[in-house]
Amino acid sequence: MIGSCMKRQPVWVAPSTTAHEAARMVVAHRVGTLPVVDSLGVLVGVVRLEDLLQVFMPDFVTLIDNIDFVHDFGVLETVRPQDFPRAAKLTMRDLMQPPVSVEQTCGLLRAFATMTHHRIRDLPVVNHTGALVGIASRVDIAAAFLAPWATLEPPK
Amino acid sequence: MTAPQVAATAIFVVTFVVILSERLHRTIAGLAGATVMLVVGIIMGFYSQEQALESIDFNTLILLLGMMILVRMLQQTGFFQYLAVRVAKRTQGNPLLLFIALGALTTVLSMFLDNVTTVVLIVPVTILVAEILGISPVPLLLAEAVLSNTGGVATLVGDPPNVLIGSAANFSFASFLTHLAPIVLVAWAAALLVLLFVFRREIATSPKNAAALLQLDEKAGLRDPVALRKILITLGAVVVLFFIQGRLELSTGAIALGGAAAAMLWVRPDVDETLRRVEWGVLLFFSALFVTAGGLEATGVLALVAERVAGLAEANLLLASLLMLWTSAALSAVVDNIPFTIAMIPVIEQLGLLGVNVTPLWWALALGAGFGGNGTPIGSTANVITVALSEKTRTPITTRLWLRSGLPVMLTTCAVASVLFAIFFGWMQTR
Repeated sequence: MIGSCMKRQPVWVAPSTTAHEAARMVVAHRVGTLPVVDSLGVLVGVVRLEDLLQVFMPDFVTLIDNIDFVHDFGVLETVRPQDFPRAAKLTMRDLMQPPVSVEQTCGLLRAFATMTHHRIRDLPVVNHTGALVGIASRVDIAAAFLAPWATLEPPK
Repeated sequence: MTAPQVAATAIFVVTFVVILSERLHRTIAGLAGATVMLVVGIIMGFYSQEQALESIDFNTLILLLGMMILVRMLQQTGFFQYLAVRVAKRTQGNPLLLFIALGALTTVLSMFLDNVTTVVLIVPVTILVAEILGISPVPLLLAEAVLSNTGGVATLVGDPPNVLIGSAANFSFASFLTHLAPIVLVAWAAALLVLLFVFRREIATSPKNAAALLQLDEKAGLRDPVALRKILITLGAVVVLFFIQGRLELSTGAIALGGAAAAMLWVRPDVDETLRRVEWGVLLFFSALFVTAGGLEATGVLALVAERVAGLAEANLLLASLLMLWTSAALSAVVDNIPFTIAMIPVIEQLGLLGVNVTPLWWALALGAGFGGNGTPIGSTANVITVALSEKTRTPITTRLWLRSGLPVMLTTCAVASVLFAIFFGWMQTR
Protein backbone atom coordinates (compact mmCIF):
# COMPACT_ATOMS: atom_id res chain seq x y z
CA MET A 1 0.00 0.00 0.00
CA ILE A 2 1.08 3.52 -0.69
CA GLY A 3 0.62 4.50 2.97
CA SER A 4 3.71 2.49 3.85
CA CYS A 5 6.09 4.11 1.38
CA MET A 6 4.97 7.75 1.28
CA LYS A 7 6.77 10.66 2.91
CA ARG A 8 4.69 11.56 5.97
CA GLN A 9 5.56 15.21 6.40
CA PRO A 10 5.19 16.67 2.93
CA VAL A 11 6.25 20.20 2.10
CA TRP A 12 3.02 22.04 1.32
CA VAL A 13 1.82 25.54 0.44
CA ALA A 14 -1.37 27.53 0.94
CA PRO A 15 -3.45 29.00 -1.91
CA SER A 16 -2.23 32.45 -0.88
CA THR A 17 1.47 31.49 -0.94
CA THR A 18 3.31 33.65 -3.47
CA ALA A 19 5.38 32.29 -6.33
CA HIS A 20 8.39 33.90 -4.70
CA GLU A 21 7.91 31.96 -1.44
CA ALA A 22 7.20 28.79 -3.39
CA ALA A 23 10.46 29.23 -5.27
CA ARG A 24 12.27 29.54 -1.95
CA MET A 25 10.67 26.28 -0.74
CA VAL A 26 11.65 24.43 -3.90
CA VAL A 27 15.23 25.59 -3.47
CA ALA A 28 15.36 24.79 0.27
CA HIS A 29 13.67 21.36 0.16
CA ARG A 30 14.55 20.28 -3.39
CA VAL A 31 10.99 19.15 -4.10
CA GLY A 32 9.35 19.09 -7.52
CA THR A 33 5.69 19.12 -6.50
CA LEU A 34 4.01 21.45 -4.02
CA PRO A 35 0.61 20.27 -2.75
CA VAL A 36 -1.72 23.22 -2.12
CA VAL A 37 -3.67 22.82 1.10
CA ASP A 38 -6.47 25.02 2.48
CA SER A 39 -6.95 26.13 6.09
CA LEU A 40 -8.69 22.84 6.95
CA GLY A 41 -5.78 20.79 5.65
CA VAL A 42 -7.72 19.66 2.58
CA LEU A 43 -5.75 19.18 -0.64
CA VAL A 44 -7.15 21.71 -3.13
CA GLY A 45 -4.50 21.73 -5.84
CA VAL A 46 -0.99 20.91 -6.92
CA VAL A 47 1.75 23.19 -8.22
CA ARG A 48 4.46 21.45 -10.19
CA LEU A 49 7.82 22.84 -11.27
CA GLU A 50 6.38 23.15 -14.78
CA ASP A 51 3.63 25.45 -13.49
CA LEU A 52 6.15 27.60 -11.64
CA LEU A 53 8.56 27.84 -14.58
CA GLN A 54 5.78 28.39 -17.12
CA VAL A 55 5.77 32.04 -16.09
CA PHE A 56 9.31 32.44 -17.40
CA MET A 57 9.01 30.16 -20.42
CA PRO A 58 9.05 31.85 -23.84
CA ASP A 59 5.72 31.78 -25.63
CA PHE A 60 7.00 29.79 -28.58
CA VAL A 61 7.66 26.71 -26.45
CA THR A 62 3.92 26.03 -26.27
CA LEU A 63 3.27 27.07 -29.88
CA ILE A 64 5.85 24.96 -31.72
CA ASP A 65 5.67 21.19 -31.60
CA ASN A 66 9.38 20.71 -32.22
CA ILE A 67 12.01 22.84 -30.52
CA ASP A 68 14.98 20.53 -31.11
CA PHE A 69 16.38 22.97 -33.65
CA VAL A 70 16.56 25.83 -31.15
CA HIS A 71 20.06 25.42 -29.75
CA ASP A 72 20.13 28.74 -27.96
CA PHE A 73 17.28 30.61 -26.32
CA GLY A 74 19.15 33.89 -26.80
CA VAL A 75 18.11 36.81 -24.62
CA LEU A 76 15.53 34.61 -22.90
CA GLU A 77 18.26 32.76 -20.99
CA THR A 78 19.72 35.94 -19.58
CA VAL A 79 16.53 37.42 -18.13
CA ARG A 80 16.25 36.89 -14.39
CA PRO A 81 13.01 35.79 -12.70
CA GLN A 82 13.04 38.99 -10.65
CA ASP A 83 12.76 40.94 -13.92
CA PHE A 84 9.22 39.61 -14.38
CA PRO A 85 6.97 41.96 -12.43
CA ARG A 86 4.05 39.65 -13.13
CA ALA A 87 5.78 36.69 -11.49
CA ALA A 88 6.08 38.37 -8.09
CA LYS A 89 2.34 38.92 -7.83
CA LEU A 90 1.35 35.35 -8.68
CA THR A 91 0.06 33.09 -5.93
CA MET A 92 -0.45 29.35 -5.83
CA ARG A 93 -4.14 29.95 -6.56
CA ASP A 94 -3.16 31.29 -9.99
CA LEU A 95 -0.71 28.52 -10.80
CA MET A 96 -2.20 25.37 -9.27
CA GLN A 97 -3.69 22.50 -11.22
CA PRO A 98 -6.60 20.36 -10.01
CA PRO A 99 -5.11 17.72 -7.71
CA VAL A 100 -4.75 14.05 -8.56
CA SER A 101 -4.49 12.09 -5.34
CA VAL A 102 -5.09 8.65 -3.82
CA GLU A 103 -5.98 7.40 -0.35
CA GLN A 104 -3.49 5.64 1.93
CA THR A 105 -4.94 2.20 1.15
CA CYS A 106 -4.25 2.51 -2.58
CA GLY A 107 -2.16 -0.34 -4.00
CA LEU A 108 1.32 0.42 -5.35
CA LEU A 109 0.66 -0.65 -8.91
CA ARG A 110 -2.56 1.38 -9.06
CA ALA A 111 -0.71 4.38 -7.61
CA PHE A 112 2.04 4.08 -10.22
CA ALA A 113 -0.49 3.67 -13.03
CA THR A 114 -2.34 6.78 -11.81
CA MET A 115 0.85 8.80 -12.02
CA THR A 116 1.75 7.47 -15.44
CA HIS A 117 -1.74 8.15 -16.69
CA HIS A 118 -1.81 11.75 -15.45
CA ARG A 119 1.87 12.33 -16.33
CA ILE A 120 2.81 13.44 -12.83
CA ARG A 121 5.94 12.63 -10.84
CA ASP A 122 4.66 12.87 -7.29
CA LEU A 123 1.39 11.58 -5.93
CA PRO A 124 -0.25 13.31 -2.93
CA VAL A 125 -1.95 10.96 -0.49
CA VAL A 126 -5.10 12.03 1.37
CA ASN A 127 -7.30 10.55 4.09
CA HIS A 128 -11.04 9.96 3.74
CA THR A 129 -11.80 13.64 4.45
CA GLY A 130 -9.50 14.78 1.68
CA ALA A 131 -6.82 16.09 4.06
CA LEU A 132 -3.22 15.76 2.89
CA VAL A 133 -1.36 13.08 4.87
CA GLY A 134 1.67 12.38 2.70
CA ILE A 135 3.23 12.38 -0.73
CA ALA A 136 5.02 9.65 -2.68
CA SER A 137 7.38 10.12 -5.61
CA ARG A 138 7.50 7.68 -8.49
CA VAL A 139 10.81 6.41 -7.12
CA ASP A 140 9.26 5.82 -3.65
CA ILE A 141 6.47 3.79 -5.18
CA ALA A 142 8.56 1.84 -7.68
CA ALA A 143 11.23 1.03 -5.07
CA ALA A 144 8.56 -0.22 -2.66
CA PHE A 145 7.00 -2.34 -5.36
CA LEU A 146 10.32 -3.77 -6.56
CA ALA A 147 11.74 -4.36 -3.05
CA PRO A 148 10.55 -8.00 -2.67
CA TRP A 149 11.92 -8.76 -6.12
CA ALA A 150 15.29 -7.18 -5.37
CA THR A 151 15.79 -9.34 -2.25
CA LEU A 152 15.22 -12.60 -4.16
CA GLU A 153 18.24 -14.63 -5.10
CA PRO A 154 18.97 -14.26 -8.83
CA PRO A 155 17.90 -17.41 -10.71
CA LYS A 156 20.75 -19.77 -11.46
CA MET B 1 -41.87 39.93 -53.91
CA THR B 2 -43.62 36.57 -53.72
CA ALA B 3 -44.09 34.59 -50.50
CA PRO B 4 -41.28 32.10 -51.31
CA GLN B 5 -38.95 35.01 -52.04
CA VAL B 6 -39.71 36.61 -48.68
CA ALA B 7 -39.30 33.28 -46.85
CA ALA B 8 -36.01 32.41 -48.59
CA THR B 9 -34.58 35.89 -48.01
CA ALA B 10 -35.53 35.72 -44.33
CA ILE B 11 -33.88 32.30 -43.90
CA PHE B 12 -30.78 33.47 -45.72
CA VAL B 13 -30.46 36.66 -43.71
CA VAL B 14 -30.98 34.88 -40.38
CA THR B 15 -28.37 32.24 -41.31
CA PHE B 16 -25.95 34.99 -42.29
CA VAL B 17 -26.49 36.92 -39.08
CA VAL B 18 -26.06 33.82 -36.92
CA ILE B 19 -22.83 32.92 -38.74
CA LEU B 20 -21.49 36.43 -38.29
CA SER B 21 -22.54 36.71 -34.66
CA GLU B 22 -20.32 33.69 -33.91
CA ARG B 23 -22.79 32.57 -31.26
CA LEU B 24 -22.82 29.18 -32.97
CA HIS B 25 -19.95 27.42 -34.73
CA ARG B 26 -20.24 28.53 -38.34
CA THR B 27 -20.49 24.96 -39.63
CA ILE B 28 -23.46 24.24 -37.36
CA ALA B 29 -25.10 27.55 -38.27
CA GLY B 30 -24.55 26.89 -41.98
CA LEU B 31 -25.92 23.34 -41.82
CA ALA B 32 -28.96 24.50 -39.84
CA GLY B 33 -29.61 27.26 -42.38
CA ALA B 34 -29.26 24.84 -45.29
CA THR B 35 -31.66 22.39 -43.67
CA VAL B 36 -34.28 25.02 -42.94
CA MET B 37 -33.95 26.43 -46.48
CA LEU B 38 -34.42 22.98 -47.99
CA VAL B 39 -37.37 21.98 -45.78
CA VAL B 40 -39.17 25.30 -46.29
CA GLY B 41 -38.32 25.14 -49.99
CA ILE B 42 -39.89 21.71 -50.33
CA ILE B 43 -43.01 22.75 -48.36
CA MET B 44 -43.48 25.97 -50.32
CA GLY B 45 -42.44 24.32 -53.55
CA PHE B 46 -39.55 26.57 -54.59
CA TYR B 47 -36.60 24.27 -53.85
CA SER B 48 -36.07 20.53 -54.31
CA GLN B 49 -33.41 18.14 -53.05
CA GLU B 50 -32.12 17.75 -56.59
CA GLN B 51 -31.74 21.52 -56.93
CA ALA B 52 -29.98 21.66 -53.57
CA LEU B 53 -27.45 19.08 -54.72
CA GLU B 54 -26.95 20.90 -58.01
CA SER B 55 -26.27 24.16 -56.21
CA ILE B 56 -23.18 22.67 -54.52
CA ASP B 57 -20.04 23.57 -56.44
CA PHE B 58 -18.18 20.29 -56.19
CA ASN B 59 -15.16 21.61 -58.05
CA THR B 60 -14.57 24.10 -55.24
CA LEU B 61 -14.91 21.41 -52.58
CA ILE B 62 -12.62 18.99 -54.39
CA LEU B 63 -10.02 21.66 -55.07
CA LEU B 64 -10.01 22.66 -51.40
CA LEU B 65 -9.87 19.02 -50.28
CA GLY B 66 -6.97 18.21 -52.59
CA MET B 67 -4.96 21.24 -51.49
CA MET B 68 -5.72 20.55 -47.82
CA ILE B 69 -4.39 16.99 -48.09
CA LEU B 70 -1.21 18.15 -49.84
CA VAL B 71 -0.60 20.92 -47.32
CA ARG B 72 -1.22 18.64 -44.32
CA MET B 73 1.30 16.16 -45.70
CA LEU B 74 3.81 18.94 -46.24
CA GLN B 75 3.18 20.34 -42.78
CA GLN B 76 4.04 17.01 -41.14
CA THR B 77 7.56 17.15 -42.59
CA GLY B 78 8.44 20.39 -40.74
CA PHE B 79 9.07 22.16 -44.03
CA PHE B 80 7.44 25.47 -43.10
CA GLN B 81 9.46 25.77 -39.92
CA TYR B 82 12.57 25.09 -41.95
CA LEU B 83 11.72 27.76 -44.51
CA ALA B 84 10.85 30.42 -41.95
CA VAL B 85 13.99 29.83 -39.90
CA ARG B 86 16.15 29.83 -43.01
CA VAL B 87 14.71 33.10 -44.21
CA ALA B 88 15.02 34.65 -40.76
CA LYS B 89 18.68 33.62 -40.47
CA ARG B 90 19.47 35.26 -43.79
CA THR B 91 18.43 38.62 -42.35
CA GLN B 92 21.04 38.35 -39.55
CA GLY B 93 18.38 39.60 -37.15
CA ASN B 94 18.01 43.03 -38.75
CA PRO B 95 14.39 43.96 -37.85
CA LEU B 96 13.71 45.78 -41.12
CA LEU B 97 15.00 42.92 -43.26
CA LEU B 98 13.24 40.40 -41.02
CA PHE B 99 9.99 42.29 -41.47
CA ILE B 100 10.30 42.32 -45.24
CA ALA B 101 11.65 38.77 -45.56
CA LEU B 102 9.05 37.06 -43.37
CA GLY B 103 6.33 39.18 -44.99
CA ALA B 104 7.49 38.15 -48.46
CA LEU B 105 7.73 34.49 -47.46
CA THR B 106 4.19 34.54 -46.08
CA THR B 107 2.95 36.19 -49.26
CA VAL B 108 4.59 33.66 -51.56
CA LEU B 109 3.35 30.72 -49.49
CA SER B 110 -0.18 32.09 -49.31
CA MET B 111 -0.29 32.41 -53.07
CA PHE B 112 -0.29 28.63 -53.29
CA LEU B 113 -1.57 27.53 -49.89
CA ASP B 114 -4.57 28.83 -48.06
CA ASN B 115 -3.89 31.83 -45.83
CA VAL B 116 -5.00 30.19 -42.63
CA THR B 117 -2.52 27.34 -43.06
CA THR B 118 0.20 29.81 -43.91
CA VAL B 119 -0.23 31.91 -40.78
CA VAL B 120 -0.78 28.90 -38.53
CA LEU B 121 2.59 27.57 -39.67
CA ILE B 122 4.60 30.78 -39.88
CA VAL B 123 3.32 32.73 -36.86
CA PRO B 124 4.72 30.36 -34.17
CA VAL B 125 8.17 30.41 -35.79
CA THR B 126 7.97 34.20 -35.98
CA ILE B 127 7.20 34.40 -32.28
CA LEU B 128 10.21 32.15 -31.67
CA VAL B 129 12.52 34.32 -33.75
CA ALA B 130 11.27 37.55 -32.17
CA GLU B 131 11.60 36.17 -28.66
CA ILE B 132 15.15 34.91 -28.99
CA LEU B 133 16.11 38.20 -30.65
CA GLY B 134 14.42 40.17 -27.92
CA ILE B 135 12.20 42.22 -30.25
CA SER B 136 8.40 42.60 -30.28
CA PRO B 137 6.67 39.96 -32.42
CA VAL B 138 3.55 42.11 -32.90
CA PRO B 139 4.57 44.08 -36.03
CA LEU B 140 5.82 40.88 -37.65
CA LEU B 141 2.61 38.98 -36.89
CA LEU B 142 0.39 41.76 -38.16
CA ALA B 143 2.44 42.05 -41.32
CA GLU B 144 2.20 38.30 -41.90
CA ALA B 145 -1.57 38.20 -41.57
CA VAL B 146 -2.06 41.27 -43.76
CA LEU B 147 0.45 40.25 -46.41
CA SER B 148 -0.89 36.69 -46.59
CA ASN B 149 -4.38 38.08 -47.27
CA THR B 150 -2.90 40.36 -49.90
CA GLY B 151 -0.81 37.66 -51.56
CA GLY B 152 -3.70 35.23 -51.59
CA VAL B 153 -5.57 37.45 -54.03
CA ALA B 154 -2.98 36.82 -56.74
CA THR B 155 -3.84 33.22 -57.62
CA LEU B 156 -6.83 31.00 -58.16
CA VAL B 157 -5.93 28.84 -55.16
CA GLY B 158 -4.67 31.68 -52.96
CA ASP B 159 -7.82 32.30 -50.96
CA PRO B 160 -11.35 30.85 -50.74
CA PRO B 161 -13.12 33.70 -52.62
CA ASN B 162 -10.77 33.16 -55.57
CA VAL B 163 -11.41 29.40 -55.54
CA LEU B 164 -15.14 30.13 -55.61
CA ILE B 165 -14.86 32.80 -58.31
CA GLY B 166 -12.52 30.76 -60.48
CA SER B 167 -14.87 27.84 -60.31
CA ALA B 168 -18.07 29.81 -60.92
CA ALA B 169 -16.69 32.02 -63.70
CA ASN B 170 -14.60 29.21 -65.15
CA PHE B 171 -11.45 31.33 -65.08
CA SER B 172 -8.16 29.51 -65.48
CA PHE B 173 -5.24 29.60 -63.06
CA ALA B 174 -3.14 31.44 -65.65
CA SER B 175 -5.88 34.00 -66.17
CA PHE B 176 -5.87 34.81 -62.43
CA LEU B 177 -2.13 35.29 -62.56
CA THR B 178 -2.16 37.56 -65.59
CA HIS B 179 -5.06 39.69 -64.33
CA LEU B 180 -4.68 39.85 -60.58
CA ALA B 181 -1.00 39.13 -59.82
CA PRO B 182 0.29 42.42 -61.34
CA ILE B 183 -2.24 44.43 -59.31
CA VAL B 184 -1.41 42.42 -56.20
CA LEU B 185 2.30 43.06 -56.70
CA VAL B 186 1.82 46.84 -56.65
CA ALA B 187 -0.73 46.64 -53.82
CA TRP B 188 1.66 44.40 -51.87
CA ALA B 189 4.45 46.98 -52.11
CA ALA B 190 2.00 49.69 -51.03
CA ALA B 191 0.83 47.55 -48.10
CA LEU B 192 4.42 46.96 -47.03
CA LEU B 193 5.17 50.70 -47.12
CA VAL B 194 2.11 51.46 -45.01
CA LEU B 195 3.13 48.82 -42.46
CA LEU B 196 6.73 50.03 -42.39
CA PHE B 197 5.44 53.52 -41.68
CA VAL B 198 3.03 52.42 -38.95
CA PHE B 199 5.68 50.31 -37.22
CA ARG B 200 8.65 52.57 -37.97
CA ARG B 201 9.54 52.89 -34.28
CA GLU B 202 9.49 49.13 -33.53
CA ILE B 203 11.52 48.39 -36.64
CA ALA B 204 14.18 50.90 -35.66
CA THR B 205 15.05 48.99 -32.45
CA SER B 206 18.11 46.80 -32.67
CA PRO B 207 17.90 43.16 -31.55
CA LYS B 208 19.63 42.25 -28.30
CA ASN B 209 20.95 38.90 -29.40
CA ALA B 210 21.39 38.24 -33.10
CA ALA B 211 23.87 35.42 -32.43
CA ALA B 212 21.13 33.17 -31.00
CA LEU B 213 19.19 33.47 -34.24
CA LEU B 214 22.17 32.21 -36.20
CA GLN B 215 22.43 29.29 -33.77
CA LEU B 216 19.07 27.95 -34.90
CA ASP B 217 19.56 24.69 -36.75
CA GLU B 218 16.75 24.63 -39.27
CA LYS B 219 17.79 21.24 -40.65
CA ALA B 220 17.14 19.64 -37.25
CA GLY B 221 13.50 20.65 -37.64
CA LEU B 222 13.04 18.61 -40.82
CA ARG B 223 11.42 15.34 -39.93
CA ASP B 224 11.31 13.37 -43.13
CA PRO B 225 13.46 14.81 -45.95
CA VAL B 226 12.62 11.97 -48.35
CA ALA B 227 8.86 12.47 -47.97
CA LEU B 228 9.39 16.22 -48.18
CA ARG B 229 11.11 15.92 -51.56
CA LYS B 230 8.36 13.71 -52.92
CA ILE B 231 5.60 16.06 -51.72
CA LEU B 232 7.37 19.14 -53.10
CA ILE B 233 7.78 17.46 -56.49
CA THR B 234 4.08 16.54 -56.50
CA LEU B 235 3.07 20.04 -55.44
CA GLY B 236 5.30 21.47 -58.15
CA ALA B 237 3.63 19.24 -60.72
CA VAL B 238 0.20 20.35 -59.47
CA VAL B 239 1.17 24.02 -59.90
CA VAL B 240 2.54 23.34 -63.40
CA LEU B 241 -0.71 21.57 -64.31
CA PHE B 242 -2.64 24.55 -62.90
CA PHE B 243 -0.75 26.80 -65.31
CA ILE B 244 -1.67 24.74 -68.38
CA GLN B 245 -5.06 23.75 -66.96
CA GLY B 246 -6.95 25.86 -69.53
CA ARG B 247 -5.41 23.95 -72.42
CA LEU B 248 -5.72 20.55 -70.74
CA GLU B 249 -9.47 21.02 -70.19
CA LEU B 250 -8.99 19.60 -66.73
CA SER B 251 -10.76 21.14 -63.75
CA THR B 252 -8.62 22.63 -60.98
CA GLY B 253 -10.35 20.26 -58.57
CA ALA B 254 -9.31 17.20 -60.56
CA ILE B 255 -5.70 18.41 -60.63
CA ALA B 256 -5.56 19.13 -56.89
CA LEU B 257 -7.21 15.90 -55.77
CA GLY B 258 -5.24 13.95 -58.35
CA GLY B 259 -2.08 15.51 -56.92
CA ALA B 260 -3.15 14.55 -53.40
CA ALA B 261 -3.77 10.98 -54.57
CA ALA B 262 -0.36 10.84 -56.27
CA ALA B 263 1.40 12.22 -53.18
CA MET B 264 -0.31 9.71 -50.90
CA LEU B 265 0.53 6.86 -53.26
CA TRP B 266 4.17 7.93 -53.39
CA VAL B 267 4.75 8.85 -49.74
CA ARG B 268 2.37 6.38 -48.06
CA PRO B 269 1.63 8.58 -45.05
CA ASP B 270 -0.54 7.46 -42.15
CA VAL B 271 -3.79 7.96 -44.09
CA ASP B 272 -6.09 8.27 -41.07
CA GLU B 273 -3.78 10.82 -39.47
CA THR B 274 -3.49 12.86 -42.68
CA LEU B 275 -7.23 12.83 -43.33
CA ARG B 276 -7.95 13.68 -39.70
CA ARG B 277 -6.07 16.95 -40.25
CA VAL B 278 -8.26 17.96 -43.20
CA GLU B 279 -10.68 20.68 -42.16
CA TRP B 280 -13.89 18.80 -42.86
CA GLY B 281 -15.81 21.50 -41.00
CA VAL B 282 -14.76 24.07 -43.59
CA LEU B 283 -15.83 21.81 -46.47
CA LEU B 284 -19.20 21.18 -44.81
CA PHE B 285 -19.58 24.91 -44.19
CA PHE B 286 -19.03 25.60 -47.88
CA SER B 287 -21.54 22.91 -48.90
CA ALA B 288 -24.13 24.26 -46.48
CA LEU B 289 -23.70 27.80 -47.78
CA PHE B 290 -24.05 26.62 -51.37
CA VAL B 291 -27.34 24.93 -50.49
CA THR B 292 -28.60 27.99 -48.57
CA ALA B 293 -27.66 30.43 -51.34
CA GLY B 294 -29.07 27.96 -53.89
CA GLY B 295 -32.50 28.23 -52.26
CA LEU B 296 -32.37 31.99 -52.47
CA GLU B 297 -31.39 31.76 -56.11
CA ALA B 298 -34.20 29.29 -56.87
CA THR B 299 -36.83 31.81 -55.76
CA GLY B 300 -35.48 34.39 -58.19
CA VAL B 301 -34.58 36.98 -55.54
CA LEU B 302 -31.02 37.22 -56.75
CA ALA B 303 -32.27 37.73 -60.30
CA LEU B 304 -34.30 40.68 -58.99
CA VAL B 305 -31.18 42.14 -57.39
CA ALA B 306 -29.30 41.60 -60.65
CA GLU B 307 -32.03 43.35 -62.66
CA ARG B 308 -31.78 46.32 -60.33
CA VAL B 309 -28.06 46.78 -60.87
CA ALA B 310 -28.03 45.71 -64.53
CA GLY B 311 -28.93 49.24 -65.61
CA LEU B 312 -25.89 50.70 -63.93
CA ALA B 313 -23.61 47.91 -65.19
CA GLU B 314 -24.75 48.52 -68.76
CA ALA B 315 -24.46 52.28 -68.50
CA ASN B 316 -21.03 52.38 -66.86
CA LEU B 317 -19.29 49.08 -66.42
CA LEU B 318 -16.16 50.63 -64.87
CA LEU B 319 -18.16 52.45 -62.23
CA ALA B 320 -20.14 49.28 -61.51
CA SER B 321 -16.88 47.32 -61.16
CA LEU B 322 -15.33 49.83 -58.79
CA LEU B 323 -18.56 49.89 -56.81
CA MET B 324 -18.34 46.12 -56.62
CA LEU B 325 -14.72 46.32 -55.46
CA TRP B 326 -15.37 48.79 -52.66
CA THR B 327 -18.65 47.23 -51.55
CA SER B 328 -17.01 43.80 -51.37
CA ALA B 329 -14.07 45.30 -49.49
CA ALA B 330 -16.25 47.12 -46.97
CA LEU B 331 -18.41 44.06 -46.35
CA SER B 332 -15.47 41.64 -46.26
CA ALA B 333 -13.84 43.77 -43.60
CA VAL B 334 -16.70 43.21 -41.20
CA VAL B 335 -18.09 39.83 -42.29
CA ASP B 336 -16.55 36.53 -43.33
CA ASN B 337 -15.78 36.88 -47.04
CA ILE B 338 -16.73 33.27 -47.84
CA PRO B 339 -20.51 33.55 -47.32
CA PHE B 340 -20.40 36.98 -48.92
CA THR B 341 -18.74 35.63 -52.06
CA ILE B 342 -21.10 32.66 -52.22
CA ALA B 343 -24.04 35.09 -52.11
CA MET B 344 -22.55 37.41 -54.73
CA ILE B 345 -21.74 34.69 -57.26
CA PRO B 346 -25.35 33.98 -58.36
CA VAL B 347 -26.02 37.72 -58.61
CA ILE B 348 -23.11 38.17 -61.03
CA GLU B 349 -24.16 35.05 -62.92
CA GLN B 350 -27.65 36.53 -63.34
CA LEU B 351 -26.15 39.76 -64.61
CA GLY B 352 -24.28 37.70 -67.17
CA LEU B 353 -27.55 36.17 -68.30
CA LEU B 354 -28.94 39.68 -68.75
CA GLY B 355 -26.18 40.36 -71.28
CA VAL B 356 -23.73 42.32 -69.12
CA ASN B 357 -20.00 41.60 -69.61
CA VAL B 358 -19.45 40.34 -66.08
CA THR B 359 -15.72 39.56 -66.40
CA PRO B 360 -14.57 42.85 -64.77
CA LEU B 361 -17.11 42.31 -61.99
CA TRP B 362 -15.55 38.92 -61.15
CA TRP B 363 -12.09 40.48 -60.93
CA ALA B 364 -13.43 43.34 -58.84
CA LEU B 365 -15.13 40.90 -56.47
CA ALA B 366 -11.89 38.93 -56.06
CA LEU B 367 -9.88 42.10 -55.33
CA GLY B 368 -12.46 43.58 -52.97
CA ALA B 369 -13.15 40.39 -51.02
CA GLY B 370 -9.41 39.75 -50.69
CA PHE B 371 -8.12 43.21 -49.77
CA GLY B 372 -11.18 44.02 -47.64
CA GLY B 373 -10.25 41.21 -45.28
CA ASN B 374 -7.32 43.29 -44.01
CA GLY B 375 -9.48 46.00 -42.49
CA THR B 376 -10.37 44.46 -39.14
CA PRO B 377 -9.18 41.60 -36.93
CA ILE B 378 -12.29 39.65 -37.96
CA GLY B 379 -12.01 40.42 -41.68
CA SER B 380 -10.44 37.11 -42.59
CA THR B 381 -9.89 33.77 -40.93
CA ALA B 382 -6.13 34.37 -41.12
CA ASN B 383 -6.60 37.52 -39.02
CA VAL B 384 -8.71 35.72 -36.45
CA ILE B 385 -6.09 32.96 -36.15
CA THR B 386 -3.19 35.40 -35.89
CA VAL B 387 -4.92 37.36 -33.13
CA ALA B 388 -5.82 34.12 -31.34
CA LEU B 389 -2.19 32.94 -31.51
CA SER B 390 -0.91 36.31 -30.33
CA GLU B 391 -3.23 36.09 -27.33
CA LYS B 392 -1.25 33.07 -26.17
CA THR B 393 1.80 35.32 -25.91
CA ARG B 394 2.75 38.15 -23.59
CA THR B 395 2.04 40.72 -26.31
CA PRO B 396 -1.47 40.18 -27.71
CA ILE B 397 -2.63 42.10 -30.80
CA THR B 398 -5.39 44.50 -29.82
CA THR B 399 -8.28 45.57 -32.05
CA ARG B 400 -7.07 49.15 -31.78
CA LEU B 401 -3.64 48.21 -33.05
CA TRP B 402 -5.20 46.31 -35.92
CA LEU B 403 -7.38 49.25 -36.93
CA ARG B 404 -4.30 51.48 -36.80
CA SER B 405 -2.37 49.24 -39.19
CA GLY B 406 -4.70 46.88 -41.08
CA LEU B 407 -7.33 49.47 -41.94
CA PRO B 408 -4.87 51.86 -43.65
CA VAL B 409 -3.51 48.87 -45.55
CA MET B 410 -7.00 47.92 -46.70
CA LEU B 411 -7.78 51.45 -47.87
CA THR B 412 -4.41 51.83 -49.60
CA THR B 413 -4.56 48.47 -51.39
CA CYS B 414 -8.14 49.07 -52.52
CA ALA B 415 -7.20 52.54 -53.80
CA VAL B 416 -4.17 51.14 -55.65
CA ALA B 417 -6.31 48.36 -57.08
CA SER B 418 -8.99 50.85 -58.20
CA VAL B 419 -6.49 53.04 -60.01
CA LEU B 420 -4.85 50.10 -61.78
CA PHE B 421 -8.26 48.64 -62.52
CA ALA B 422 -9.33 51.86 -64.23
CA ILE B 423 -6.07 52.26 -66.17
CA PHE B 424 -6.11 48.69 -67.43
CA PHE B 425 -9.88 48.41 -67.71
CA GLY B 426 -9.66 47.03 -71.24
CA TRP B 427 -7.56 44.12 -69.98
CA MET B 428 -9.92 43.59 -67.03
CA GLN B 429 -12.75 42.98 -69.47
CA THR B 430 -11.01 39.90 -70.81
CA ARG B 431 -10.87 36.51 -69.18
